[in-house]
This record gives sequence, C-alpha cells and structure tokens, in this order.
Amino acid sequence: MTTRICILVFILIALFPKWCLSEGESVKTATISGFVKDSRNGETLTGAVIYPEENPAIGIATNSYGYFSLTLPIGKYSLIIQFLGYKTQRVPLDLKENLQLTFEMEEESIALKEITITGEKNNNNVVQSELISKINVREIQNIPVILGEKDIMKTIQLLPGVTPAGEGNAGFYVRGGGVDQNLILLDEAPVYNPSHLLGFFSTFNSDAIKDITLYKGGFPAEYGGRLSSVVDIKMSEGNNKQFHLSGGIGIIASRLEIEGPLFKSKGSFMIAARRTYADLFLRLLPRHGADSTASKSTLYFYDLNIKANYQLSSKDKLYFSCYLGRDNFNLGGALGLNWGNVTATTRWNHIINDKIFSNTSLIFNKYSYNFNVAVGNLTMKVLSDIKDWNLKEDLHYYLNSNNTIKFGFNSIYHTFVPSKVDSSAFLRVRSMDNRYALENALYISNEQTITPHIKATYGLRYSLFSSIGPGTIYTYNQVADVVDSVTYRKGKIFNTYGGFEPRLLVNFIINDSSSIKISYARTRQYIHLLSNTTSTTPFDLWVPSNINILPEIANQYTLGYFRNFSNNMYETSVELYYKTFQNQIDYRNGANLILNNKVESQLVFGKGWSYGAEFLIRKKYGKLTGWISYTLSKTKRQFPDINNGNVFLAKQDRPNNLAIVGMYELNPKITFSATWIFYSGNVVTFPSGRYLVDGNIVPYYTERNGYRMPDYHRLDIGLTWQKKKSEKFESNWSFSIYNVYGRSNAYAINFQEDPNNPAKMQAVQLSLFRFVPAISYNFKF
Amino acid sequence: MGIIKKIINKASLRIIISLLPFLMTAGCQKVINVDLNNAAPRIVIEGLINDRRGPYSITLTKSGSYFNQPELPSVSGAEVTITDNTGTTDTLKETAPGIYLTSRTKGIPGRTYTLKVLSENIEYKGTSTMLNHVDIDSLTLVKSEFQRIDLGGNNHNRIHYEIHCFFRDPPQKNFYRFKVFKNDSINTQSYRLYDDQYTNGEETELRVSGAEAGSTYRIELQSIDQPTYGYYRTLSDLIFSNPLFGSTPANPNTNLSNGSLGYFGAAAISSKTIVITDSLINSVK
Repeated sequence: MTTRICILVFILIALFPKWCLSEGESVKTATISGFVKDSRNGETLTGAVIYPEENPAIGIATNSYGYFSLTLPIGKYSLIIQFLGYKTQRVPLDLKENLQLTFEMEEESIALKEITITGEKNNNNVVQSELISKINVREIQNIPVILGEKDIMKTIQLLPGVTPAGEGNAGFYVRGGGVDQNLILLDEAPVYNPSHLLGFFSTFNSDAIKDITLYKGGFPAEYGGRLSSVVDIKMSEGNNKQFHLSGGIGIIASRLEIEGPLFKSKGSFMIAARRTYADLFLRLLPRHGADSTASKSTLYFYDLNIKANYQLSSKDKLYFSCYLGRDNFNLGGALGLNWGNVTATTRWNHIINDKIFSNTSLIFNKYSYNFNVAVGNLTMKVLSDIKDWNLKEDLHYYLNSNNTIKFGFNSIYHTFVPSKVDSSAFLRVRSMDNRYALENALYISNEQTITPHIKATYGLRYSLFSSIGPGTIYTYNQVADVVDSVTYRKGKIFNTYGGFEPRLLVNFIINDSSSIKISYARTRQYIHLLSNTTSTTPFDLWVPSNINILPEIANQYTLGYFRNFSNNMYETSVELYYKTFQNQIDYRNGANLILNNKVESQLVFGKGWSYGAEFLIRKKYGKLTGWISYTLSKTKRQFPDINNGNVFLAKQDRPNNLAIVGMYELNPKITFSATWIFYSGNVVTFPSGRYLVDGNIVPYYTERNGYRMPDYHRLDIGLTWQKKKSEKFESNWSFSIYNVYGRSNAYAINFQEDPNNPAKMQAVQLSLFRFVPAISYNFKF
Repeated sequence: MGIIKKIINKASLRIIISLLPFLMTAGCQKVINVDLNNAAPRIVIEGLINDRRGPYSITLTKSGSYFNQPELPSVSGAEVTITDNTGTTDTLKETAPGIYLTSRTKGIPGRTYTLKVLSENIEYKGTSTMLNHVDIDSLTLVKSEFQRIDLGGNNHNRIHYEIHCFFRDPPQKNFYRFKVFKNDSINTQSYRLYDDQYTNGEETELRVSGAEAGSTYRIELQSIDQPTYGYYRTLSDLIFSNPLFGSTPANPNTNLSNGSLGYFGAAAISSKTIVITDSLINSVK
C-alpha cells in the first residue's frame, strides 16, 4: 500500500514538469557549474553550499565529487560559497551566459575561527533535505581512543542511534539493526568485515580518510542493499600542489602517508600505510629448546590505502582508489589464520553538459580468510571468501534551481566461496558449495524545493536479486532434514526476488534556524551474515537469499526537529523513529554454522521492530567543542521457533545510550579532550534454575534474553600537544588514557562450579581494558 | 563436526589470549553476585533403555534454584510405564526415591519404546527407537605426537599414545555416543558424539588420545537415534561451550513432551577393553 502511494506521488511530481519548472518559460536563465576545492591541496569538497545572497533558499550543495550546477535567471548576483571550517567566499557575478567556475576555499586558521563565524549561516543541518551525520576526520583527531589509534568507526559509535556491538568491537547496531545491516562503503566499495584484531581496531586508517557520512534513516535512493544504515567513507585524494610526508609512531602501530601532485598538477596521489608490531613483542618472549620455532610465530595487521586521480580534460576526471588490509596470525606453523579485505574502485567523472554530471564506477571488493591447522598428523586448510564485481552509473541532472534529479543503476555479481577445504582424510571435512548471485538496482530521485519553506527528496529504487547456477538448493522440513533438492546448471538464473524501495524525506523549514523533517524509507537486503557467536571472529559467513532465506525488508519512519542556536554555534535535534523488520534471521538451538553445507537448515526466521528517541546537542565552534548524544530505545524480535514464540528483547536492545564528547583548546598548542560513555548492558540469557542429567549440572532457562548485564560506562581522556607548526614542518604528541577510572565493565559473565565447593555454582565476570594509557608522536612535512 | 568447531573456537581463543598482553588489558575475572530468578521447579526425566539385560531405570527429579540448592529433590509416587511397539506394556516400580525400574521391558534393536510418566496430574511422554547394534571390531594402540607451541614459538611436543577404535557403520543413517572408561571410571568432561554423514556404510575409526601405560580402557559404543543424539549434542554444547564463542544458550532439545527436562532414549551398546601394558607400548613404533 505504502509502495503504491509513494509510486503515485513520485509519478505525479516527476511527470508534471509544469510544477517542477516553476520558473516558467519566459525568464531567461543561465547555469553556473563547476567544482569547489580546498585551496591548500586541491582536494574536492563535498557538501559545500553555493547560493546567491539575494535568494538564499535556492542554494545547492556540491556532490560527492565536489561538483555543483546552479541555474539562475540572468542578472547580477553575489554568490556565497561556504563550507564548515573554511572561509566563506563572496563572489560578485554578472550572469549573462553559462559559466564554468572552480572555487578554491581557504581553510580557516584557528585565530580567525571565532571572528568569521558570526553572522554566517552554517545551517545545512536545518535547511537541507537530508538526514545525515557527517564527520570530518580533522574534527575528530583529538578524540581519545584506545591505544591512540584514531578510529572513525569508534567515533561513529558516539552518535545517537548507534550502539557498539560490544567492548572494543568495530561492529555496531543502528536503530535496532544487526551488524550486517550496515552498508560500509570505502570509496563506493562495500567492506564486508571492517575490523582488525577481532574488532579491536577498524580497517580504516584515519590518515587516509577524508570524511565519513552516516545515514540512519531517510536513505537517498542511490543507496541500497542493507537495511539499517549507510556509512559512506571517502578516502583523501592527495595534494595536487605539493608533496607531503606525514606519519605517526604509536605504541601499537606506526603510520606513514605520502601525497603529492602527478602529471604537472593534473592529478594527485596518496598512499597511506599502517602496520602493527605486536609480533615484535612475541620475539621478546623467553625462548628455550633447540627446536624453538619463534621465528615462525607472527601476529600483526597492516593496511594500505592508495588513491590517485587524473584530470583527463575539463570535462573528464578519473579516480582510482584501492585498499588492502590483512591480519596475520601464525603460531609456529601449527595454527595459522589470516584475513582481510581488498577493494578497488575506478571512477570516471564526466560532465555531459552544464546540467548533467555523470559518474561511472567499476568496483571490485573481496573479503577472505585462510585458516590452517596441523595437529600431529591431522591437517586442515580452509579458504573462504566473498567477492563482488560491481558496476555503477550515477547521473545528476540539475534540472533547474528547484530540482535536482538523480538516477542510475547498480549491478553486482557476487561470488560466495563459503569454504574450500583441504584436510586429512580422517577429518572427513568437505568443502561447501560456492554460490553465485546477481544483484541489480535501478533508481531515480528528485531533490525539490517545493516552496522556500518546503524541501523534499523523494525517490524510488527497484532492486532485483537472482541466484545463478551452478548450485544445488535443498528444501528442508520442520526438523531441518533435507526433503528435496534441485540442482541448477551453470549460468541458470533461479530464485529471483525483487521489489520497490520507496524513499521520501520532507523538510519543513520553519525559519533559518529550525525545521521539522519527516522521512520514510523501505530497504531490502539480499545477503546475510551468519554468526552465532557473541564475539567478532574472522569466520564470517555471508549467504545469499534463496528459496530458504527470504530477503530481509525494513520500513522506517522518522520525525525530527532540528534547531540551531547562537548563530549556528549550537546544533540540537530530537529524532523519533519507528522501524519494522521482516524475515530476520536467527539460529536453531545447537545450530552448527561451521563448514556446514546445509547451513540454511540451521536458521529460523522471524520479525522485529524497534523504536526510539534520539537527542543531540552539538557545539561546533569556540574553544570548547563537542557533543552530547542520548538515545532512548527499544528493540524486539519475535520468532515462532524461539522463546516459545513469545516476543523477546533483541540483542541490539540498549534502552539507554549516552555519549559526551568534549574537546577544549586551552591555547594553540594544547588541546584537552574527554569522552564519557554510558549504555545499558547487553541483554543475556541466564539460567533461572538447574538440574542434574547424566551426572552433569545443567542450567535451566526459562526465556531468551531475560536478563541484562551491568551498565557499561567509562571515561577516556586525551591531550594533544602541538610541538611545532610551520609551513615546512609540524609535529605533535598525543597522550590518552582509556577507561580512566578503571571501571570493570562486564565483557562476559560465565557460570561455573565454585572451585572450592563443586556443589555450588558461581557467576564470574570477565572484563577487559581497564586503564589503558597510550602515547603517539605524529609529524608532517 | 564438533571437533572442527572446537578447533576453530580454540584458535579464536588463542588469538584473544595472545592479544591480551599486548593490549595491556589487565583483563580480569572476578566472582560477582548475579540476581537470578527462581523458576518454578520442573520435572526432570532421565532414562536410557539398552540392548543388554534389564532392568532399566528411569530417574525422576526436579529442577531447583540455580545457586542455592545442593540437593535436587527426587519425584516419588509417579506412575511410570514403558510400552514398546510389539504391545508390551511395563509399569515401573519405584525402588528408591525417584528411581523406577522395569520388570518386563526387553531392549531389542528395531523396537520403538514409549515412556509415559504421570506425576502431579501431568502426563509426560517420550519416544525413542533402538537402532542397529554396531560392534567394535578392534582397538589398537598408536604412537603419536601431541603438538603444543607456546606464544614464543617454543615447541612443547610430546609423545603420547592413542587408542584407535574401528567399527563398520551400517548402511543407514546412524548416530553414536562414544564413552571412554579409564580403570572403570568415566571422564564426564566431554561428550563424544559421532554422526555418519560423511562415513555412511564405511569402516570407521574413532580416536582416543592420551592413553597411559598401566591403565585399562573400556570403550563403549552406543548406537542411538537422532533425537537422543540431538539431545546429547545440545546438552554438550550447553555445558562445555565457551561462553565467549557460544551461541545464545537454551535448554537442550528434548524428545519429552509437556515441558519436561531431561530425555528418554534407547541405545544398542557394544564395548571392548584394552589394557595398556608396557609390552604393548614397546611393541608400537
């Protein structure tokens, strides 16, 4: 029903050009188009706003490639270009014909920061018809983090509506969605497992990242494939004016980055590398015995980000970006495990004409792990990966100053290699069957200024998912036994699922500093992560939808009030959301997901819903900056095969979630920072009794997730000491302490027999990370 | 499959353990107070019919509070019957509190047994089929190297002896529980369960590691049906899995009705004994 209404509304608006072309035919117009860049390094700026001072309501923001196109009636204007953290430009313009312009923005120096902001309108959060949280890596560089490794994925977890999946876990839940319902894009390439060292670090080296945009609701139609969020991460492009070398030395890892111009400033490149050296400590462990195999033990991760771009002509630009990261763990050859992601994106920006911008991307991404053990004469090698070839076309049509139409398609060819096993005959382990699938989507959306006080972005996405042979699909009965199987030959398309995904966001602008935004979004997800363990492990198993696994569907409704104070120095917002989930996945009791070719038989399906209120107060300028975010929420699930069919709290349920982030610039040399985090403990299943069977004490459970772990809270503090700062060289020291007051937060609670009295049971709490200091030195020249 | 799961969990655990010192976590464990609900006591039924001579026993107890009940109460005065698919019905006699013995039931492979327990006006029912009797063909002693490498990469390999147990799996779907008795006492620290999905109808080998000189080992092979196997497997997962890697815990999958805990099974049992004498050890190369 909702789908139909949305389609109707969409068709009505899109097909009545009279309404869209509200300026009428008689007025002569001209188009200003071009790019907005950083004057220092030539990097394009995304989200910079351009508007005529005479009519602020018809502004436009640069797209993710820094491009804009603005059509205005012929006449004299004073054009304003502004971007947070940069000096606002005012350009007088006598518009007679189409113009191509490139604006270079100058970064605000610290001293100027407080003066220039007065009287400026930096109220994008209020006036734009989008629901995003944007983080610039420069803004977060002072936030204290564990072991001094800046981590954007940890910073995201400090925003309202986002909760960490667990202590030191790169995984997170957005508005009651699962970890696999977040679409994490690095330069458009999906990253399947964004974690290093079992989740204690994310795969994103902050040195290589420009900015990160989080969508929790009101998703634009160009994004799809996951239910709950989009985390769009852009890598730095590299300086096209000067060469720079920067780096850092920390206690766990060191980083090095080099950037500079290519081909006489027609292009630029950036290479950033990071490696941990925990394994060097391994060598320090005492060695004994002649047959010592210390040299064969390893434990480290590394990552490498490479990006380059080249301006082919005034209308064409090529981008290439690549990420390579791997964790390696090897115990003297007896046990080896390595895992990691590879992504590569080639993009071609093409300006078709003043009003149409096109981007074509060809993307490859892969997550894989290798696991091998040799115990005595038993050996086993397991190789697993998931890889995608992805073709994407996005067109931005700047129809007129009131309408920007975006449309395009996306086609992904997935290959799933769940496990390829080579083992001793005795273990009798077999490889799992590979799976192949094609995921296609078409979308169109329009961002429209309906009246100066109403802006809307509405769109429609149609996604289609097909399995491709070869493959054998089993059907199962109630008790998970195979009752039938169908084998498809190579290239055969079967089990196609598809559907519309309407998206709508309306912004009612009350005035320059306040607005109300409502949104609706339907999302569909066709690939699913299976993991029934509580901790993050590299053994991720992604499975496609097929006859046994229906696509997951979510519907989300949001209502938000946005209000800025003191000339936009303070941003505040309250957002309410309600979300329903269909075809959610859980596991049968005693499910075996490992190396199980009939893994679908281990799954059970149900529905879920979540709702909540999110509060944010953010201070953007001044000596003290930071934010307070608080979320009050509920997340529930219902499965016929779990908890006797009764509703239970989902593992994502965290009623209270609070984060306070503060950065205080004492003087240009010293900045203090602190974060305090508080959230309700995870829901857990604890026993409500016990009994004896076969001589064992067995816990007796009465309900799923009926208990809650103790509340989690901790304070982290940091200090950045700017040692030197000049054009040629700058350096700083950064110090941090994680969990300053040494709170023992429960990582897990186990029940076991009291070692002193085997007849008595006791609860034992395991905690990690109490009071972890860190120091790092960073330099740039 | 269990062995692979174990290997993988162990691998993950190893990684975490080895990370701890580098992350300087001072990761700590402490005993805490957890306030648990006291669920209303539930009946626990436990019984296994086998193809050896009877009588067989059914034990009835009740669940108790998790922390504060050293003795779990037995259930007396219940009406307990076992019927097989040839029509024989046996009413069990309570010989000790909560222990009920059969008098007429004969455990014969191929027969299906139905247990009914009537206690406090509630009837609980469970059914199990005794699958084929599978003989252990032989037990042999094999010398092996037990590999253990510490984080520094130091090798602590040590020679040990394994008992290899051979049996011929029948052509149909079979499930086994495998018990090892050392000098007549069983090691209850683990359940060894085996499913013939990859070895159906083949000569099959199971291994027991760490055999010690001077000890006598009795290996018992129980041929069980799928529900009994499923019960043991989920029971073993629940009791012995590491909570860091385990899935959400739940009561084991029982074949009993009406919310009873425990299980009722039928097993065909064979066993063989091996004495690890010094001369036997010397003869293995």
